[in-house]
Amino acid sequence: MADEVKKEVPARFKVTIDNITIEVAPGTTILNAARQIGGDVTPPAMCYYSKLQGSGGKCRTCLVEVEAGSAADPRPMPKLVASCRTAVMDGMVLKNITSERVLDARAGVVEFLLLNHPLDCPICDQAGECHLQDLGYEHGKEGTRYEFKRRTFEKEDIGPYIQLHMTRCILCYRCTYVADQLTDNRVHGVLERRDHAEISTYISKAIDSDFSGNMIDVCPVGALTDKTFRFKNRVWFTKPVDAHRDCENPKCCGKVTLWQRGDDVLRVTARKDQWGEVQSFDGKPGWICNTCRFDKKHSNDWVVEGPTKVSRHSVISQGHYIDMQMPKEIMPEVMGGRAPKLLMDIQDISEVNSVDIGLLPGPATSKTFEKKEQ
Amino acid sequence: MSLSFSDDMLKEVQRIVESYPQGKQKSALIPVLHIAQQEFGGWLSTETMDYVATLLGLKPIEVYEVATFYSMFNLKPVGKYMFEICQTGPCMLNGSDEIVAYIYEKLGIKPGETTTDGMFTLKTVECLGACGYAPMMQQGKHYREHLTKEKIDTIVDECWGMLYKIIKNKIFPLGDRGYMGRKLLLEKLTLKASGSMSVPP
Amino acid sequence: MEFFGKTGRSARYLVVNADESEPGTFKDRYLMEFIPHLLIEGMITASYALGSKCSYIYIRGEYAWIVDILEQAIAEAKNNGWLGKNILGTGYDLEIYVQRGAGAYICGEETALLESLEGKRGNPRIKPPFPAVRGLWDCPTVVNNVETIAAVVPIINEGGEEYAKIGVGKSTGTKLISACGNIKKPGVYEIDMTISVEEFIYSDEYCGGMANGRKLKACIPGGSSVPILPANLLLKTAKGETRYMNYESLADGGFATGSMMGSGGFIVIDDSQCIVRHTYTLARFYRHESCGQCSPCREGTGWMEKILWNLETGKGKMGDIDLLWDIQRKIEGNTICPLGDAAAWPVAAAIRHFRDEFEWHVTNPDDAQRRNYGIGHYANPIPVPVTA
Repeated sequence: MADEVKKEVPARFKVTIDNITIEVAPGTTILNAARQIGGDVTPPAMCYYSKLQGSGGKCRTCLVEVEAGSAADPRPMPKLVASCRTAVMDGMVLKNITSERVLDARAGVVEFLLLNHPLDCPICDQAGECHLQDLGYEHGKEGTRYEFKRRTFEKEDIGPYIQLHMTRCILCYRCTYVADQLTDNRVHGVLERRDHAEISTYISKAIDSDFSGNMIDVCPVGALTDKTFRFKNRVWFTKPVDAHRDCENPKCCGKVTLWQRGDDVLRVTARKDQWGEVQSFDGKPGWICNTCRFDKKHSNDWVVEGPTKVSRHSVISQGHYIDMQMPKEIMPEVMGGRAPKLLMDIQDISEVNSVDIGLLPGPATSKTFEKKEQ
Repeated sequence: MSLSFSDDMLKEVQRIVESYPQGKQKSALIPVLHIAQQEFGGWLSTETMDYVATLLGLKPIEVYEVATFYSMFNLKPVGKYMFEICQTGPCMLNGSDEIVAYIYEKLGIKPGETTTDGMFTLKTVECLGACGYAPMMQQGKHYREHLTKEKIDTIVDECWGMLYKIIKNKIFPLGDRGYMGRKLLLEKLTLKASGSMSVPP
Repeated sequence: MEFFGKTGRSARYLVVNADESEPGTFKDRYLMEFIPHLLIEGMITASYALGSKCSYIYIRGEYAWIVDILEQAIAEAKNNGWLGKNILGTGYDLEIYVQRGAGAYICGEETALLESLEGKRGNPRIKPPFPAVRGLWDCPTVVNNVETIAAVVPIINEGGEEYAKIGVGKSTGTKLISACGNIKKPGVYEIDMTISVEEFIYSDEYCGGMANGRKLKACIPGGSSVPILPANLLLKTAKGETRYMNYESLADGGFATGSMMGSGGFIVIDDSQCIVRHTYTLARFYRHESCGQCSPCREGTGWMEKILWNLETGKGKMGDIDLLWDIQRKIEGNTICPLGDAAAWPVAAAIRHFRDEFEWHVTNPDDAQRRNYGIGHYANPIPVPVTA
């Protein structure tokens, strides 16, 4: 699209979103322009992924109202437009959170997305870093008006690394783009149509290719999760640290986030930016290979750089305030001069750290932490 | 791979592929799947779809994606004759519900079911674009329109007749006219028409 | 096919949309089945104007026998030198191919049609870019309906101005109307858009009146996705004027009291029919045909169908009617392609005009299983609003 608008147009386009004006390069989408402003002005995006070509336009959460199409043609657009796939025009005036229509439509989309969602967050490994949770929290309404049985699918095993929960899928198509653009052989896709559409390999084939693990990272919900991390821990109990290693695979960036519990590496993911997307390094998306992700689960495989800065995503950042100190002197004041007891290290008392959770075959239970006779 | 098209069919596939620019043979997928379905038992098995994928140089998943999307491709075995009854608005106004009920009464099959002898499958479909001739159904390549109970009776009889002809041709490949045909006719006159399928008199 | 490469320019394509699947519409089938050469001639003319050297007819998969008819017509045209290389000595080459779909209403949407023609799932593309910029195999493509392309022939033969003299106002030329439902003479009629709706339904020249001596209850004048109108609003507009069979008059009053010409699928419903059941079948249709790509359509159509099924089978609640209204409102306009609108409008219009019948289904669930609501007050003349 960038070639179409080449000559007679200014080098930078002026766009106004929710009364904030910004200049962006021609060809930028509305969503990316809003991301440059940042904050609440940015529409949520469940299916768009800036690093995957052709993604976006499907979930309809990023709809915005176009109050003026461009400086040349300032007429409003009758329909809401998908901001992730619509390029900005010079002099465009947009309304996101200042538009009642947008908020209403977005609440509707959230309701539709959650209509058949199992709401099994308590047993879902994605909980805590799930975009659908965030979306529901920020844009949804309380309760549901759906009174029918929720849709279910036949379970499918897609190999030793990735766990597929089709009931949680919102059909963003991101994983199919990963398979198309990062791996050389796509064996899964979207089958069927209407509300029976599903992600599947049709023949229960194992998804097995060097970069297939990135599907887990791009999945906005708990439909594709890391099988090696399954039921091991809740993400908010783990400590994310940035680390890197020299990966032999030339396409692998080797820069990752380790999700640790004590010294155990429970999970390895690519590094995410504030929009939940894989970070770019030197202009290239930092996809990681399956070896880094699934096989290097020891701290000494990695060079740790320091704690990960979790900027946006909800509960993960709880308890990981960097550069913050517990206000010790205030506590006795509040508690009438008594010393607070709540600062005990619960992990230490429970001896959770004495067990290598990473080596447990299944989920940890109370038996795992029973004190052994000496 | 055990499946394969006959030479005539391969020529037909070649003809279809040639109607697209070079390198765009993926476009031939839907027409070729139609042929494959017709050739290999009226439905698309995984094996059939894999064969089509190799034939057109596609990934198998691309074929599965397409085959599951379109409603005319059967992914499960179907009966020899399939009645696809339209039940959308205009056909409903003209009594498609009664036709479905009558078929249940006559053949004992509900939508989506096949008779135990593997002869008939009943399927309800959405608008087939013959609203002015409602109620109607598709049976094979053609539409059967202005359906009534009597017409259903005729169609069912017709199907039996067609099957009878097919079986007869299998037993007497040269027909009644050839010498071999007459000879076989004399020799096999006493044979039962078929093993598994019952043929009405 | 190599000539695209040789000329060094990107190819252009004409694609004829013969994926006619809108409930109530069967006019293209008539054109292709009985006068295929009209379409072929129109295609040759249009392709020449576009500079397309290869044109496709995308026909719905169920019209299997029409594929044979079209292929025979193409062969005849080729034998006469109207198609193929160097047409009539002009140096212009054109090939026409027929591509068969495989059962998907959504492929009537132009970008979904192109996806299907490329051998993919019929998922509509996100626009822009529009097909005229990037269409079939990323080349500029024009997608037009069979009726449109067939109309090229009389327009060229008679001249645009002469052709535009037929009809009235902006509704110039002729229009094929496929009439079906509870009428005496269903079929395809070519009208010149000056006749009234009443004449079209009752005159012997056209539909021949209601079948079985029944009364007119409602009508969908332009294919299942346009709003349904009760008898009183169909024959006369809200202002009390006669309603005519043309684009402006059918749309008079907007969606509140009017409808649309749409695809020309004229579905007439008599007083023995149940509007709730009819709306349910349409909701089921749109659910079945949704491609499942964008969330409002994928989830919303299924939800509407389930609620309508509850209402139809006497398990509905009064709140369901308002809920249906809210769901359709949230689907409409928020989807990738117009299928979302098409699914929302019939439900909205049915509730708008036939709310009593929906409520009657809720308040008399047992009665609703045994008999239909009947004609109600839908045929009563509407009071003409006094305007100052």
